[in-house]
Amino acid sequence: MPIESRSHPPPGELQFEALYHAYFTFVWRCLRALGVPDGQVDDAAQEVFVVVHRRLPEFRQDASVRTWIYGIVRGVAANQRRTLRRKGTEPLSEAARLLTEVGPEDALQQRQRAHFVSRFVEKLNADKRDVFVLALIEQLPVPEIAETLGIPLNTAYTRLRTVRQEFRRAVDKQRGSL
Amino acid sequence: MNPREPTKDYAAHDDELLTSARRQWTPDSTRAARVLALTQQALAADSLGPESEFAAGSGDQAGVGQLREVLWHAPGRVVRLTAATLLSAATGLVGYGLGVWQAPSDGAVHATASQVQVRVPQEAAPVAPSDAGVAATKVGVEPAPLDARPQPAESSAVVAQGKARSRAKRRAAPSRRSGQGPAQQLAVDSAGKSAEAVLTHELRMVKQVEAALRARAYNLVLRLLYDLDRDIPEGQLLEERAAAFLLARCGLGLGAPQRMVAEFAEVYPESMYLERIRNACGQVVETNINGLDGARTPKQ
Repeated sequence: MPIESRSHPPPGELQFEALYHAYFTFVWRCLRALGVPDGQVDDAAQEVFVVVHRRLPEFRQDASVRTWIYGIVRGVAANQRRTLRRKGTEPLSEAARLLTEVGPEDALQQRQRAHFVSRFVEKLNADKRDVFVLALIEQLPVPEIAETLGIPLNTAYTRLRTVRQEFRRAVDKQRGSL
Repeated sequence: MNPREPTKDYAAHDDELLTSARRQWTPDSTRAARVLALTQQALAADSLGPESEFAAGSGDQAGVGQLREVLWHAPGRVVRLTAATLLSAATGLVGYGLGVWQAPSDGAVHATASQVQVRVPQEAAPVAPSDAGVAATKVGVEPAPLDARPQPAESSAVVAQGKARSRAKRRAAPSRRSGQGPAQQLAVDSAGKSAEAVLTHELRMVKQVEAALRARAYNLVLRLLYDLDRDIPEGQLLEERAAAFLLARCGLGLGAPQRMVAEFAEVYPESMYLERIRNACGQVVETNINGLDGARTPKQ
C-alpha cells in the first residue's frame, strides 16, 4: 500500500529516523521523477539518506529541510543518470520487472501514463525538470519551489508556465499520434 | 477561441496523467522499511568513504567554509587520480620484480587461471580451473524440469569443452594485448582476482536462478535475474541469464515465443540452450536461422 509522508518534524528536533519517515516518500518520488530507474531507486534513496545522516549535525537550518534534502536528491539522481548514460542502455532487468507486474488493465494504463510523464521529464533541461517535479509531481507551492531552487519567485512562475505549456504540447502530440 | 489554448478537458487530462505518475512513483511501506534497514546497515558498517562531490554542492548550508570539506572536494579528484596512478605504477614495479625474480628459478612462466585458459591447447581447455567452473555451471544451469532426458556424462563433457573453447577464444584477444611484459601480465592477474570474486557471485546467483527454474517459479526467476542484472550488469554468464529469462517468460506465457527464440538464436547461434528453449517455448522453429546446421534443427 502506498504511503504518504508523515508530518514533518519541527525544526530543532531533527532526528534521523523522524526525518527518514517524514521525507522518504518525497525522496523516493523525486528520484523516480528525476529519471532514476525503478530498479535503482532503493539504492539511490539509501545513498540520499546516508548523506543526510552524515551531514545532519552540520545542517544549520538556514533553509528548509526539504530544500536541503532536495539538493541531495538532485545530486544523487544526476549521478545515477550519468551512470546510466555511461552504460548506454536500459538494463534488461527493467523489462523483467515489468513482465512480473502484468496486472489488470488499470494498472497497465497507469504505468503507461507514468512512463509518458517520465519520458517527458527526461527531455527537459535541469531547470525545468526541477520545477516540473516540485510543482506538478510534488505539488509544492511556487514560493517554496523558488526557495528550494534558490531562484527568484517570478522566475519560478515563468518556468512553471513554460513547463506546463510544454507538457500540454507533449500530451497533444501524443494524442495526435494515436 | 485560440485553438492553441487548452480546454478544461485537456487540463483535466494533464492532471490525470500527473496523478497517475504520482501514484505510480509513490513507494509502499515495505520499500520504506527495506531502504531504512539498508541505510542503517550502511551506516553501521560505515562502508562509505568521504562523500561524493554532489554532497558538497547540495548540502551547501553545512559544508561551506570547513577546511575538511575544501580539502576533500576541491582537489579530491586530482589526489585520487594521483594516488591511483602511483598505486598502479607500484603494482607494476612489484610485478616486474617478481617476474624477474621468478624467471630464472624454474624457467617457467607462472600464469593465473585466466592466462592458462588462453594458452592451453583447445583440447585441454576444460581442465583450466575457472573455465571448468564456468562450464560446470553452464551444465548445471540447464533447466532440468524442462528437459527430463538425463545428460550422459560424455555429452556433458563435450558441451563443457565446447563452451570452454569459445570462452578461450573470446578471452584470447585482450590477453594478447596486455601481454607485453611480466609486469603488465601480473597487473592483469591481480585485477583477475576481483573479477573472479564477481564471477563467483554471479555463479551463486545463477544457481539460484536455476533452482527457481527447476521449481518452475518463473516470477522468482525474473526477479532474481533483475537483481543479478542490477548487481552485475556485465557478467560472464549473460548467455545463461538470457536463456533463463526466456525460459521463464515462456513458462509464464509472456511475449511472443517465436520472436524471442529467433532473437536469442541470432545472438547465440551456437548456444546449447537453444534447443531446450525451443522445446520449452513449444514453438515451430525456423530450421535455418543464421545458417544453423541440421544438428540444431529443433524438434517439431
